[in-house]
Amino acid sequence: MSVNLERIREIFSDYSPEKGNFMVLLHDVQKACGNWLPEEALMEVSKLAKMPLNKVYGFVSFYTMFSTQPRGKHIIRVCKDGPCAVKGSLMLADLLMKELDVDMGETTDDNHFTLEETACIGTCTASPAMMIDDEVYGNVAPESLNSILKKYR
Amino acid sequence: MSEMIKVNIDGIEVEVESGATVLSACEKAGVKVPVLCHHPDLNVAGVCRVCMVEIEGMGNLQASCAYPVTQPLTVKTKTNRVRKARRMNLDLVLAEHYGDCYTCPRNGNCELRTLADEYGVDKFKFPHVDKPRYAKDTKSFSIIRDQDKCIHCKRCIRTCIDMQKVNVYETANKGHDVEIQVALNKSIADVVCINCGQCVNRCPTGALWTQDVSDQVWEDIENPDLFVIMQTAPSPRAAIGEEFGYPPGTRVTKKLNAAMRRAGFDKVLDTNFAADLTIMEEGTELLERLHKVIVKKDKSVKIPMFTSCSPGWVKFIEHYYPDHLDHLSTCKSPQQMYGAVIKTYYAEKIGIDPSKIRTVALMPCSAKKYECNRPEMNASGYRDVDYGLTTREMAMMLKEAGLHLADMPTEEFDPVLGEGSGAGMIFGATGGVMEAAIRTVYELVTGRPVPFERLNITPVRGMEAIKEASLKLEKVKKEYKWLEGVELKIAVAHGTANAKILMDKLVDGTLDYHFIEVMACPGGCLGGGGQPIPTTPEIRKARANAIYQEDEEIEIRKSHENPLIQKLYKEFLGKPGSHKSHELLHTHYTKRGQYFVKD
Repeated sequence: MSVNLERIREIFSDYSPEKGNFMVLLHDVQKACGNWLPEEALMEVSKLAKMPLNKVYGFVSFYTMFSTQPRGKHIIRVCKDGPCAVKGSLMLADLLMKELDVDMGETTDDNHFTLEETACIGTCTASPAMMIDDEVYGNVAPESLNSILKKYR
Repeated sequence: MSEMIKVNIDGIEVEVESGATVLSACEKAGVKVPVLCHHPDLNVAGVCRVCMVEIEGMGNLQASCAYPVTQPLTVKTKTNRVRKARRMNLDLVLAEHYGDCYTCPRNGNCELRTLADEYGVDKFKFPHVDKPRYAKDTKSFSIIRDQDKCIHCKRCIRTCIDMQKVNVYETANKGHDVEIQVALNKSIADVVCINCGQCVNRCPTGALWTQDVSDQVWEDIENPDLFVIMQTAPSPRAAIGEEFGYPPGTRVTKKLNAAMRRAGFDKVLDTNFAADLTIMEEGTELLERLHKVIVKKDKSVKIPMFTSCSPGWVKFIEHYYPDHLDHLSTCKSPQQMYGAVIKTYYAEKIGIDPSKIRTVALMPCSAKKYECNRPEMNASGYRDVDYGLTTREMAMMLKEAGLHLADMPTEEFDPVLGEGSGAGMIFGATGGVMEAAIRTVYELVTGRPVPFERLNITPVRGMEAIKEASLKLEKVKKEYKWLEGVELKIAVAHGTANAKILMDKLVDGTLDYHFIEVMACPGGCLGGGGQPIPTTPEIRKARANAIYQEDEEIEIRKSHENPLIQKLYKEFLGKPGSHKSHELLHTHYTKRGQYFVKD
């Protein structure tokens, strides 16, 4: 999809692009661009924030929630950190890869799902955990995967 | 001056200013501490941890480059604990470093390899990268990058962002996945890189290098149909000795002439000649601009005029101040002027078909490689300069041919367009172009030499970030009556961070000068991105001294008094600023902006 630069300018006018706001602002820009940050969007952000492009990129690449590659409509993030891994998140990841027929980090052919790993999402007590878009799923049993996915199909 | 504090380093007492680092105290005590991420030109990073020392009263070892002295300290640098920690940290760096030393351009001059040697690394303690993980970025005409050799010391980042304010590199990703990256993993050729090569000069390993054209030059030298002409800039001559074991600041110009002839170059010419030509054109342009502004009140003509000899600076302004390109002198750099004159006037003089001529420029500069490949640089009807060769590449070529400078006799430059004045010589140091221009312009306007002892315009010399001077024009010749009483205000900046200070003032409308010299590299060309590694403030000072000494020893010290220049104008160009001059010696610039280059 082409980037709506006008929309990015609107987002900027909603925030004052100070350091503290930059994160939320970029999330809004990413949402407006369809779950990823295309080159044109980053250039516009760089211009509006008066921040050189290398620094915008350094910021974006630091956080796994941002992507500079096209992603699907829904993003599934499986926690890869210790407690979840111990409780079976690696197996969950394998099942999801098989079910969606993608590798980790890839997007399904119909651009519907992107499968990613994530660092800890703070729900260790309910490990293994995963997120789909903004929704957190804890204590995910392998059998429940399909019914969860169904909601997004 | 701030408070002095006593530091005891391995039993040696020294005093340092409060806030100075433990590393600088060690230097003062003459105690060598290994470093990888520290560089005397750059801000503190404290990331490599090989400069660890033991500070009495502290539980953990400390990185001496980042630890400020704020109270009396007792420091130990040679204990087993320190040695083992340094060795361990080196082992960790080596685990991430992939590269075959034999095939690396920094073989023999690699800081990592030297440390591994000094610290007796005899095996890989940790599983290490044993296959390349990255494709080399070789797209740029100037800078090439081999990330497999990168050890994440961030010297390039600090050089590019803090020292030069260019903003090509940044740390990307996090944790184990950290990389030094260009925005969106683009090629250096596709971003705001100005090709200054300062990152190359400061990289401790072979992760950054310049695009090496020496193989093509060898091919052309061996081709019997081609006539290969070398032009040598002043700065390589003041530095190439370092590659052959001479101390910094050793002048080897005439030995280098002999070595290059023996390497097979058909003619060896002096770029100082073209520097003189630049002064004639640029000086004339300055006077024309002043005339238009002062007499004709022409608002379309821009003052201050900036020099345009430094291709790094030219690209900097094209990227960051594209709306102010009219302030740049339209004069090409000496390298390009020379190329254009060699393939026209000189070709005719020596009776050689210009299509058979290859011009090679020995330059202290990585950006010169880009400059000679700019599409518009073909005023002679051919590529004006075929190859830009760095000082390092030249040294390698000579070594390859078994030509060591120590064994060489002294030889002069070739005649016809052979020699330059002392004014051309000082182009290599920051302030040099300004000094050369003022020596000529002042005399042109007043009929008298500049009012400085032995023509040395000392206010524009030295390594100060921005130098300013003013010169009152009095008792002028009658054709310059309109300049009577004008106070000519000039400024000199070296390093693009300093240039940026001036440019931001220009944008604000508070920049009050007539003429400004900018060189992209610290110290001017002598600190260029193609010069021998390492570079430090002391080394640059030594090179500057060599350049100013050579100026004093050249009989002719003003560009306009160079008889070869006078002859070139008489026989070929007409007068400075003529139609022909404009065709061959002047150029235009491109608005580039700060974003990705579109293919």
